[in-house]
Amino acid sequence: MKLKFITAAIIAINVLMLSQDIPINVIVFTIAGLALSFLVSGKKLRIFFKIALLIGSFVLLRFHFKTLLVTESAVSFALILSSLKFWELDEERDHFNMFLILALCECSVFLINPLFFIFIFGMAKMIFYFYYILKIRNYDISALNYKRLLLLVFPSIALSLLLFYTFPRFTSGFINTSEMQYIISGGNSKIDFKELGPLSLSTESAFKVYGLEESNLPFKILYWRSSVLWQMSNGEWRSFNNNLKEKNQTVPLGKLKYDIELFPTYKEYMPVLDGSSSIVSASQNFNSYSDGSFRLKTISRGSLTYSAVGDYGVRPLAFSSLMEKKGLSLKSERSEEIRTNYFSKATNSASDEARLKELIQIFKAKEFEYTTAPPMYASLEDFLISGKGGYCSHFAAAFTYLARLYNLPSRMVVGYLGGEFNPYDGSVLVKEMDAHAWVEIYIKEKGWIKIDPTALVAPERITMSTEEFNNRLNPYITILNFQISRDTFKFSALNDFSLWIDSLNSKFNNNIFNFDRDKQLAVLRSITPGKMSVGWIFSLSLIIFMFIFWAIYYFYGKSKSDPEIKRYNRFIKKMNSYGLVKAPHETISTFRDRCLHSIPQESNMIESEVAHYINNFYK
Amino acid sequence: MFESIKNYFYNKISASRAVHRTYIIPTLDGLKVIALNATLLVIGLVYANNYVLLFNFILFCLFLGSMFYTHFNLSGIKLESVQFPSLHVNENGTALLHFSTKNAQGHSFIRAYFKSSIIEISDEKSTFPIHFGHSTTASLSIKGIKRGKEKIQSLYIETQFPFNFFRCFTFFRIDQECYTYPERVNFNIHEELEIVETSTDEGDDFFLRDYQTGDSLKRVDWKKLAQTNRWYTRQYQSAKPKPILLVLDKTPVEDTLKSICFSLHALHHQNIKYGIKLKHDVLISPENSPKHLNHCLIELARYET
Amino acid sequence: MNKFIQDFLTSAESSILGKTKETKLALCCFLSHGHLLIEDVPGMGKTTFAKTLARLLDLSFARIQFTNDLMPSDLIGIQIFDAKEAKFNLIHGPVFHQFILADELNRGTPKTQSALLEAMEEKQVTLDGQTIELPHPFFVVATQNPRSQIGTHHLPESQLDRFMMKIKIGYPENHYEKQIISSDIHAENYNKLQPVINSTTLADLYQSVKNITVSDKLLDYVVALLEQSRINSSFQGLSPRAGKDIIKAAKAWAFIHGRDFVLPDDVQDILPSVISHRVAPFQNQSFTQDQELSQMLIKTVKVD
Repeated sequence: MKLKFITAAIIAINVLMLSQDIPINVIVFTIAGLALSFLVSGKKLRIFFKIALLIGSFVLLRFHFKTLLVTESAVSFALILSSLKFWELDEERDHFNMFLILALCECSVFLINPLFFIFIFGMAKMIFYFYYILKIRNYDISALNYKRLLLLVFPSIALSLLLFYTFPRFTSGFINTSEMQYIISGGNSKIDFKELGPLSLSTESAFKVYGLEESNLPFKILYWRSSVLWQMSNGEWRSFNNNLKEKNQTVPLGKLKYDIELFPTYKEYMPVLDGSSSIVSASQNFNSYSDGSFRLKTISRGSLTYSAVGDYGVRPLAFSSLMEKKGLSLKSERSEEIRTNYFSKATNSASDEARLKELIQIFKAKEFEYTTAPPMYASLEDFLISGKGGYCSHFAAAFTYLARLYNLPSRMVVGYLGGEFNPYDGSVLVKEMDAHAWVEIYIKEKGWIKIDPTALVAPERITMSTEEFNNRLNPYITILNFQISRDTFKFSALNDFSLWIDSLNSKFNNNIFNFDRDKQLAVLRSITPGKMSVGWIFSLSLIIFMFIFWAIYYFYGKSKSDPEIKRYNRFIKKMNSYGLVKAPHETISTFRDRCLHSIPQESNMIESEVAHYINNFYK
Repeated sequence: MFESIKNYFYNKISASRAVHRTYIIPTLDGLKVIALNATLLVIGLVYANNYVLLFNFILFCLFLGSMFYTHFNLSGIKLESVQFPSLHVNENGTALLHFSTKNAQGHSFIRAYFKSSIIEISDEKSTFPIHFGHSTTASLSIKGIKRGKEKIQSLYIETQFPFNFFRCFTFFRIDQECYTYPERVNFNIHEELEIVETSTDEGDDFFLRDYQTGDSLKRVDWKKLAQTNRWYTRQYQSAKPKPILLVLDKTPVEDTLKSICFSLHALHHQNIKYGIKLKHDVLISPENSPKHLNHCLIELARYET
Repeated sequence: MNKFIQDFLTSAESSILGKTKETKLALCCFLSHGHLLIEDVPGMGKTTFAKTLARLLDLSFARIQFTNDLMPSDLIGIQIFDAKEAKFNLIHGPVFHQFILADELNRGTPKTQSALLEAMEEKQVTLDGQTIELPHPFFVVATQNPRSQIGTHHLPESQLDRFMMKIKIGYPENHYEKQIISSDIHAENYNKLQPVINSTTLADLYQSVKNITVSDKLLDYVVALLEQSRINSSFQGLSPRAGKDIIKAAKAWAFIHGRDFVLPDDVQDILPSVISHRVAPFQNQSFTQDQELSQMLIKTVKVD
């Protein structure tokens, strides 16, 4: 009964973990399977219900098959199967079968949520379940003494890690999932602030989300080459505008970690950094390209965490005539309208710097307002003429437009601002809501300089991160008409713990999850002599480990012999070499007499050895 | 020198031949685990999911480790001696198995069994531990199922500890003669033939025993009956009771054998001399001793109809 | 070797020719507070042997000849009413001596036998509800004819267990036999014997025997012997009391041989005498067979 309860709990946990990724119908079926097994009694009725549920689940999966990936169908089926197996948990054999099905379910959870702590939790669940199965078998668990248990568990884990690292990964996958249709059933079309979309996506749709389309923009957005997130000085990252969560914090030269929402339509992502950059690891399997972008191997929904390192010494190219031409190009039919609106009183001074200062004054005078829910604008010109509320990308686009109109080479940059420093692994976690857009303007005297138009409109937005700013705008969380202050949810200890878990997770991701074929080859090549094939290494390590296993038990099982007994055995062996064999029932003194009789020349040795033995064991 | 090395290896090899062979095979559970491993490997490779692969490898390595563990749990056991009791049909007895082990860590959850048509093991699942250092006695509760005589050739011991993934077993040649005597039932159908009549129930040389139906009224201790209100019979030491010959001549042979068996025990307890006569084949003259009882019972067990 | 032991053995040798081992065994039995059973056919010198022992030990001696009509009261004693003083007087029987020779024990009735054996076990007797302690030391030497002889009540196994040792005198060797039949010299010697061990030296001897070391390994060996006797179906299993007796006798044997620790050799030497009357599965086995069984037991147990 206890085990039945545990089984039900494990199935329920699995359902909870998968609830976001599988259709609600499947969940209902699973829960119904569990509930009915308690309610329905009577053998025939049970069989009827079970068959009905099985057929129903097949029909259900067939019905959902077009909208589900093969993975998700399989996961759903495993889940339903576990709830059906739950009906017959009478014998110990049934429990073991249940264990196998639960292990399959566990793996489906790993498939959908490849996260380190979900893996650990899953392992813990399985170990716990197996422990109870052993208990059912009437094994006295105490007989499994802990020393011997360690001898079983430690080599097993070591061997499994070895096998894991040496097992030849033939392909990156048999099924090409990229061609499959991927539709989220019941997907949410409403956009809120958190779902503003990944900035590192391909341009168009990213800006669709922002209410602006690049095709509507009169210029190209330079988002992939640079960021103003941090500036490097003296080998340290210094936060620009002090908008790290902890003020005045300097970040050692380390990797940046991005935590972004994945959209099912896209596979390609870019790390956003100054200089050339490359991706180090991600929580999904990926291929990286020379330009620094990377492509996910499988499409999956959810969040993506990746870390990137950049070669920050490489600065963008020096200014050229082509760059000037590009930086000034503006294909806008309504440019004259804007010019009269903005620059009617402009002095058009000679130096770039003076003109930029003037432009800033003009921009400030327009009195835009920062809002996270701006009205829809048909075009950038509309925003410039009639708009009032907007956010960073609106302001950045507008400022770029105006700068080009005012004959200053400029470009709009999309990247991140702020982030959270994780002291446990020395990385900075950049989240979706830290996305930001700004402008770079070329000034002959100084080169490309960074201007943040948002700071001109709402300086407080820049001194604090978007999250904080959002909190400032809405300081209360409303639950059932109760307004609760956000501060009540902030515990520094909890935050520290989550940072620690996060660092653990990323370590695990780096070392275990992202261990793919290329990494494996690189590692194995570096530690093995010559060009040994992975298959050979694998089989060799398996054989060696089997031997180690055997040796461990062999030496463990050997009794430790006393040095005195060893000495005695040596004596007996020596006598054997003279042809004198001690009969099992013969006592040592009679044996001594016999020896003395036949080899008198060794009498001293024999006497002393036997006397020594008797002294040790019989006195 | 080469000669001595040769001798050394020769001795080693002959010693290793003398070592008892143990066999290890995966159980049904083990095969299921292999199937699960294969499935998970395919899933892990197809979806390139390292967590599934790692889970799979951990399961696989525990499986492999348990193979060594199970084998370790049975290695180095030696059967010192076996003692099979002689049983009556439908009566329980205990076979004593004496093991010693070379394995310093001892063994747990060992199960012993044998193949026999006349004796069965009462509790198939019962297991016992074997400890290192001194010989361990394991008792195996057995039950007689059929009258007869059989030679039990080998004794098997097996273990599936700890995970039931593997079954490790070995067997010892024991060549144990076993007898299962007929059931003890009192049908009162066999003939009791009294041969000798000697009785002088006199003198002080007697002791009292509980009265049993059929005892002569002359021998009842009336004084004791008056004192204690319980029936006692005087059993005279000098005057032995009459020897009795139990004869098999009725047709339901099995039932008669059961009945004779019952009487043998009763007579033995009463210290009365008895003999048996089975048709024309077997005749054992009256006597009373444990050896004699054994002899008679063996004759009953091996009697062929 | 202890001086007293030496004296005892040399004096005994003058009276009992060529039976040193048996003498030693008897002495060993005596030193370990056990009782001795001598079994042999008539005319082997059982009684002489016992009498010699009694003479050499300075103890009060009584000899009881067991017959069919010997009653327990003849053994233990009786309460007699003294009319003059109008009270019961206890007349002690022969059992109240320190050294008792129970001659031809198996010719007595079981009732009488049990009375003696009870006294041996409890070291006290109960007479009409009065418990009387027996003297210390209390040593019984019983002689017995082989069981096959007519007119004997052989002792049940449970009672045999109370004797620490059973020995057999055996036929003398040829040259000793020649001496025995040619002259009466040993009879004369017997009359000349003087007590060697008196009660004070006896206390010392007992103390010395008690102090003999018994190592763990030796105990293991004895336990292995006991276990083997229980495992092997050709023996009747030895009781823990038998194990205790083996250790006691082995200690005394080691002492007699002048050692202060026990060797497995001691155990092997005394084992046949200590267990021969306990391991035989059925009663109608002859003495030699018993001895063979004991040897078999020794041969099946490994000793280092």
